[in-house]
Amino acid sequence: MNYWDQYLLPNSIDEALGMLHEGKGSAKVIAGGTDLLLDILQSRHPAVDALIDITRIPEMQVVERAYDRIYVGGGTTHNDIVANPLLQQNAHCLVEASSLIGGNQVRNVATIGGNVAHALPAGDGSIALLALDAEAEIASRTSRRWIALEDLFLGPRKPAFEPSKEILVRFRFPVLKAGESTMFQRVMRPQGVAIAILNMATWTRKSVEGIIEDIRIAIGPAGPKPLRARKTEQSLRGKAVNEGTLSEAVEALLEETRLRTSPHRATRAYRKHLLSVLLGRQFGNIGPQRGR
Amino acid sequence: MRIEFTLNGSAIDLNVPDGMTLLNLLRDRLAVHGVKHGCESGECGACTVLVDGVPINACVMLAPKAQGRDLRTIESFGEHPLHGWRNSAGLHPLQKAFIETGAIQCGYCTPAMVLVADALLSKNPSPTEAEVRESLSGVLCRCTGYLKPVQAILRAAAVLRGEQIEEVSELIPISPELFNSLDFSESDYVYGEEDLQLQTKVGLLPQMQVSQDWETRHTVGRPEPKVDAMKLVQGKSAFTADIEMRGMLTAKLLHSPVAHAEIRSIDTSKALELPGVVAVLTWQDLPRVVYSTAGQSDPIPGPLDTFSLDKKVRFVGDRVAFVAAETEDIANEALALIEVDYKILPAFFEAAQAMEENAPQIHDEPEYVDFGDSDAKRNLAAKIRIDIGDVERGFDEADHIFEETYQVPKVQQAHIEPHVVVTYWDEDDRLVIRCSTQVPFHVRRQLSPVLNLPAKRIRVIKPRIGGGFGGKQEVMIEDVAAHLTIATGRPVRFEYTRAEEFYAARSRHPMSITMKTGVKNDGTITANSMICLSDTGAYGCHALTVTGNTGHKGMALYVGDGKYRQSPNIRFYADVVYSNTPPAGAYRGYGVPQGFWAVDRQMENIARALDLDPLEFRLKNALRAGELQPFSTAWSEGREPQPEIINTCGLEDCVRQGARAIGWDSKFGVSAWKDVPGKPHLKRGIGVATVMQGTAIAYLDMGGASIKMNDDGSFNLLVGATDLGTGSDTVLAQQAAEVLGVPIDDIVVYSSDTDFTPFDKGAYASSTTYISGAAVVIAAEKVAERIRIRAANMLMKAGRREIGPQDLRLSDRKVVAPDGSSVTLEEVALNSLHHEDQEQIMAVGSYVSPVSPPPFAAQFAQVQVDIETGQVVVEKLIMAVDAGVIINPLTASGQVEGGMTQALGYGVCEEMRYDDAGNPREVDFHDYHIFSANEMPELQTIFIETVEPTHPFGVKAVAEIPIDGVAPAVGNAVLDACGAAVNAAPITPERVWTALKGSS
Ligand SMILES: Cc1cc2nc3c(=O)[nH]c(=O)nc-3n(C[C@H](O)[C@H](O)[C@H](O)COP(=O)(O)OP(=O)(O)OC[C@H]3O[C@@H](n4cnc5c(N)ncnc54)[C@H](O)[C@@H]3O)c2cc1C
Ligand code: FES
Ligand code: FES
Repeated sequence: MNYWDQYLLPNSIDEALGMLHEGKGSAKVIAGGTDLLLDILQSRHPAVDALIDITRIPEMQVVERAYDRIYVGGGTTHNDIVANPLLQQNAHCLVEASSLIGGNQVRNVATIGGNVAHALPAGDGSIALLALDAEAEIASRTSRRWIALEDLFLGPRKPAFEPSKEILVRFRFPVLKAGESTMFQRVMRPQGVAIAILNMATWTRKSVEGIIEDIRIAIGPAGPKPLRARKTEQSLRGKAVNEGTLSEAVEALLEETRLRTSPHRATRAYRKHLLSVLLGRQFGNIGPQRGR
Repeated sequence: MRIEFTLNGSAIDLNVPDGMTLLNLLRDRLAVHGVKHGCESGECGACTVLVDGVPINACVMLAPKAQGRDLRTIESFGEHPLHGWRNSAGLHPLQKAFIETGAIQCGYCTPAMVLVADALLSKNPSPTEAEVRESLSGVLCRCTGYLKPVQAILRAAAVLRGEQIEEVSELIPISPELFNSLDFSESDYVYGEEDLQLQTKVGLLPQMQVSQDWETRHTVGRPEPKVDAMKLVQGKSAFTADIEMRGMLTAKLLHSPVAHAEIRSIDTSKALELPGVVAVLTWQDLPRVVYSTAGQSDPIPGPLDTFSLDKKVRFVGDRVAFVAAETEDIANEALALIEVDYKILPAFFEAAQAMEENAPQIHDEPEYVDFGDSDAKRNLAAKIRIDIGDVERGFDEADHIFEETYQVPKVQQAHIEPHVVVTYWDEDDRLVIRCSTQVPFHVRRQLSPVLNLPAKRIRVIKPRIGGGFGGKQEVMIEDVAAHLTIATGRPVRFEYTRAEEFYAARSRHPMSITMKTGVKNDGTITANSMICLSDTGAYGCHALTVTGNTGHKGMALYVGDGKYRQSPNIRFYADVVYSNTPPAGAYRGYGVPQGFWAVDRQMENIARALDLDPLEFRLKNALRAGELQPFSTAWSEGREPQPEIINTCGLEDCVRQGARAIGWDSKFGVSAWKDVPGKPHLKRGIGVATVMQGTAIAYLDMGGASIKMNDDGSFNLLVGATDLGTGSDTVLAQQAAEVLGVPIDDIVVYSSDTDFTPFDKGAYASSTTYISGAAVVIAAEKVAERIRIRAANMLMKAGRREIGPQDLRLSDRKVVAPDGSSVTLEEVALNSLHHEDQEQIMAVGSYVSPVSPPPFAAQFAQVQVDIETGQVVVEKLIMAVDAGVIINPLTASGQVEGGMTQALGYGVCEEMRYDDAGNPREVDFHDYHIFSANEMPELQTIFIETVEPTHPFGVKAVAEIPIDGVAPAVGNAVLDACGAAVNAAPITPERVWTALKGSS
């Protein structure tokens, strides 16, 4: 079956953008291909004229620090993220999220850019980056722009950029400062890495007295796109963590999440309960129990 | 597109078609058969390839991505150390270690494991066990439980670092005296903490309490490497799909999208017009022959209710049409062009609805052939009513009555190699069926009428199999390829996808089981009753026999104590009903795991309610040696039952040693132990289950073997027995070698080819080591006798005094007289074939047993429950088993480890479910999770040997019993940890959470 006519391996972003341009809307970026290939083979994705493989573009593999920001190339694989000392130090939640994706062989090819561009409501990488307040750099033929991750998703499998014309080049987020920490938690079937019932990533800045000065909470799947739990964050900001503030936060969280019963995963009631447990654990210093 | 890359050191430059994955390029274009596949979605890792040294899954990588890369597969590793006059580099240390440690069972995942291990060791020469497990986590293995592969990699790492390591044979902790002094205390192993130094304290080999004869034997009882390991570790083209034939077509099956319908019409014209389509078959093209797909002896003990293709479909995934085309893509395209008009019929998906008043009748075809009490009008595929003793009187005599209902899910065998078959006409116009089957002889017999071809014109060959677990005790897809070869005259290959394995293969029968038990205050069981509703799905293959065994074994263990031992009161009633779901069938354990989930959870509840020691309560009421298997006079797979006395029972030792190993006394009921310091949300618990199985079907299962002596004193052993990765070729060779006094290397095994080997009923009912093994010993004894007679003559002629054959002994490749004089086997062979009074020394043996001696076991589980989320982490599984004499501790413990791992999935996460329209919810390894290497608990095996008198070496079965007790032991441990009584398996976090909510 003809899924595409051309497979192209550009060496620079400009070259890749030119190829997309020539594809006239019927070209598609491919990174690790772990999502795209299955979508195409299982006919969830229409055939395209050209596949443009961005994994040979050096600029997209770079992980670096510049001033007070960390930059992560969209072509970075999950295993490269896991092994990267800069990220281990500054983006614990991202490292943790990447380490939980697929099996070892999948992590060797699947990219963080692909995870985000695929725009699933519970993409592990997306959830972690959202908590990190990351922005994504989108390149088109004429310009480059930064989009906050929160604005990057329109709905399931719908990123807020033009996938047949544009490329997600890299991410950036602030370095971790004193008093700040991040965390990623995932609840799944017993000892299984397979089915995420719920993911949660948080970034917090606490004062020496233990007051939450600032906080970001990201959750999936809790709606059509990865969710920043703004109201919950607001309810916690400026407060010390105790039973009272926590239960207020849980209230807020339940209000702003749209949990559904998924036949594969779990009932709504159970997920609601999990939300409150996970949130509690972010602050109770109780490490999540990972089934591995 | 044109691509260039390096493959195993050679430059490759070729054009690849669009859409080709690296997997297809390597296997189909370049015939690199060491790359396997078990899914099409990046989950199983069987297709692992090293790309610039990094392991990737070739099925989710497009071929063009190989451009400019350096690719390595297993073919670039070592080779057999003996290659004639040519020097051979021999095997790679990883390959050697995989063989020595028994890390290879079916070997289907082995190439991938070796590759990921190589990638790990080249970066990290001294990995921790946790790192090894992490690196293996992307390669699913359904056979081993990962313990031995992990050990293999650690061992190879040591070798590569230049360290001296002990031979595997030196590691065995056995001998009768040694056993008692062994430290069976618990290892202080922590799971789930940062420091993941798992299992390093647990040895590679099982702990064993061996029988007296162990020391007198030279190969039986020893950890011999598997006879097929050499080819498997090299990734040789040994599996069904690994052959290339000119003009071979690819077959595809059109599956029903609806759960219940009549086919009004099928239009295949568009599909046939598609270039490259060679044949499309519908029910109108085939003879209408009713049969059963269950691979069983004649007569099939179940209803005949299946056609190769029918004008009715009975579940989502049922067969509608067959296509054969030049390529897989064309075949798939053709499927989409077949137009079917369905007349939709009402359908149901719950067993409980099957016998309701207005339930739709699933089998209304006039050809339907009943078996026993089956009744298609009532959707009843089988019915069992067994009363032993007087159950009602037993209840009257009880002080307490316990009644509870338990559920078990439908689960998949999930062998990593899918079902696969290749068919072709040979030069004699005989149809060759090369297939991944557990029952080659049944395939030939059962397909003969379906194909309208005499059995003598069919040859079935079973090559290596990538796991079966019962899923391949089924004549399930062979007919598809065979019909298409008949239609086209061309070779045809047909292989299931992973999705098809889920929606159109077989599974374990889901059941709802109600237990009622009468108990006296002192814990004596006075009566025990099981009422079982079993769902066979749309077809009745194995319907009667699987569910029969639920009672036959599950309900036989607890006879009661005192006078009840002589006359137990046991009831087992079962209805096995049809539903519009994919058929259930045979799956390792064959109904017994279902039974023990209910029986053992019930025992635990009783022990707790009456405050009885759970171990003593079970032992008090359990069957003992010298007693009658209570069901033996009541039921025998639909045949005439005959009384069977239990000759050997090591259950008590199993319980005691297993309890010691898990530290029962310091944990059970010790509340301080249950708490996890600093983690109030975690609770620990411990649980036990005691179980029994059978060994073959008495008076029915027959295995044959023949042994032929060669010029050099080696032997060909031909067996019908079917090694599906279990190691049966190896343990059969060991038994022959023991009798013939030769090392196992001198036995050349060839198995399962209907043209060349004697009959064997096939690999099921845990029978091969026992039944086929006895046949091998009989044949070997006959050969040994001929050898002794000839050797006696030779020795006399050489001037010795009178020597009788009975005085001679075969040992060390020689025939030895009492005075120490000897002739070699090679001399005997040359004498018999070339020198005097020439004859071919050769013999056939066959065996059928009057009994089905049960193995017994105690299975222990230790868990940690997160009482807030309900998540269960199983930390440790220990199995102490009396499986008679162990022929090979490596392969036998491999069976136990792998069985426990499958059973763990049954206990905690595996489940197949359907939506309101009968569509399957789980069709891949993403939604249907099977355990990976980094999720495993600690596994420990203890063998308590008894000597079963009905087998020449004292063997009983070991393959199925590990499946029986894990789920209930885990369930009991969860109950112990936090009081959550989860009566429905699997014990998912949500079920635990719900149970906790209910109990608080
Ligand atoms: C076995 C398996 C297990 C998995 N487990 C998980 C899991 O646990 N959690 C999880 O979140 N995901 C999981 N995934 C999904 C997937 O691997 C990840 O989402 C991965 O990060 C996708 O990356 P990729 O490079 O393979 O993307 P691709 O498949 O190459 O691309 C995905 C989509 O993004 C687009 N795209 C990719 N890169 C760019 C770019 N730079 N600019 C613009 N568009 C781009 C593509 O056009 C495509 O539409 C799993 C996948 C498999 C096969
Ligand atoms: S992961 Fe490639 S075949 Fe399963
Ligand atoms: S040995 Fe691993 S799948 Fe069989």
